[in-house]
Amino acid sequence: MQSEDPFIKALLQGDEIVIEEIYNRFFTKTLRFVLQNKGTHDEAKDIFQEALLAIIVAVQKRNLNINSFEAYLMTVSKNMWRRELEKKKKRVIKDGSATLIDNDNDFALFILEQEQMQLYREMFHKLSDNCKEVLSLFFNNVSYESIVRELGYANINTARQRIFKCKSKLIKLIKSDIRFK
Amino acid sequence: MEFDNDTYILIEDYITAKLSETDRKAFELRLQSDEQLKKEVDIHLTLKHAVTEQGWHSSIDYQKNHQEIKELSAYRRSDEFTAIQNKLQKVSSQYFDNTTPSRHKKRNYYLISAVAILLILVSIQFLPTSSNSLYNDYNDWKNLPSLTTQSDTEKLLSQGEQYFLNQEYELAIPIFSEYIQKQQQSNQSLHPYVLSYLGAAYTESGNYTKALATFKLLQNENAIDASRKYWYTAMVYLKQGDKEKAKQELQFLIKDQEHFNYQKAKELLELLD
Repeated sequence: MQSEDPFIKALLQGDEIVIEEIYNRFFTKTLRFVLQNKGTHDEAKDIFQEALLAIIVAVQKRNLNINSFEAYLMTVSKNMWRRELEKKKKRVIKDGSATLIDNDNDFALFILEQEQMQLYREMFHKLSDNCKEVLSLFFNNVSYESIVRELGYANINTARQRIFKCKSKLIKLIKSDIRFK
Repeated sequence: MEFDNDTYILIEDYITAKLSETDRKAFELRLQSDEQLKKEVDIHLTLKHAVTEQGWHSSIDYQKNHQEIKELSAYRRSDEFTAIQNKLQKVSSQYFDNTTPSRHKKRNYYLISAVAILLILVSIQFLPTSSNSLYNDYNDWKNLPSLTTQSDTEKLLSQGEQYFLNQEYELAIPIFSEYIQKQQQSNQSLHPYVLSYLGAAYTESGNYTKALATFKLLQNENAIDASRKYWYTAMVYLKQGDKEKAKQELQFLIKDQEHFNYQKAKELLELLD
């Protein structure tokens, strides 16, 4: 599938001038995110390049359509770095679930995981504002007591029920999407 | 698949880390044998990370999606993709090489690795977004050329470099500063790298006034690298936490692409804004 986006085109055609422009315009953003999240300049460099490669694969093999190259590149770099941090954490605690897997397969796994993450985000945005708000608080580990106070529920039980409903609705949306794995 | 209320509460307690050690282990054991439950927990975990936009959960079952994974990694290994990757690699090296002084690439590996280890140790002490962490990411003392290849008469300098690498600045500083003083007394032009080491040693040991004075000499020397003075001075201000003054120095560097660390200065300015 051929993309209309000039940056994607340049990546596919190996247009060095435009690719350099990509570095000039967007690298600092990835760098900033990585530095603010326990990373180094070198790690940002790797993430940025891998994110560009992931976009190429997604466009070529997963029929990805991109509205904003910049926004998508940022999402992918952020996701990639979040995943990397999680892997580091597992290595530190020697978690058995951190199985050995070669780089190519791991990259492929990332592409699929990233698609799922996108799907979850997309469905989350379909919820009502109230559901979004209460779920954000809940998943950010805000206590039921605080949620009751913050959103003016009658009591903990009402809040609990509300969260349960919103969560069920969201999961239902996700599960019924054809992209769900 | 629907679960009973107790199971949902259990899942919730599991993903919010509210289970006791024993309960958690028991639950994880159950997950290994109960595929449906595992899938449900996977969904909840992914949901948590999707909503908070923090952390990550790998929810893809490797076995079940084996075919797609195989196809994607085959594409990654394909000639078409490798060509794109090489091109990207090329542009990336060009871009990042411009951000480091290429003339000084040839330094000994001992210096690189030793300083890298030191920097990692030092950087652990600082919080991410502070100007101190930017200092840690951007100071490029590790790029200072090694002094060890000099002639016998300058053995002392290589000793100074060793002290610098070992962070024994109180030992390194006298060697470098005496060397500079002698040059000054005999009206020789000052050794720009020795000046750089001296300034770096002052900076690392927190003697900022002397660091600034030393780097200032770089400019007076009319060396090819006179613009280094601005970069190093910016590093001193950054370490002190004075972002505004650091920015002023960097502003000068970005006026000319030929200036030392032109690209890095641009990058750092954006981060400081």
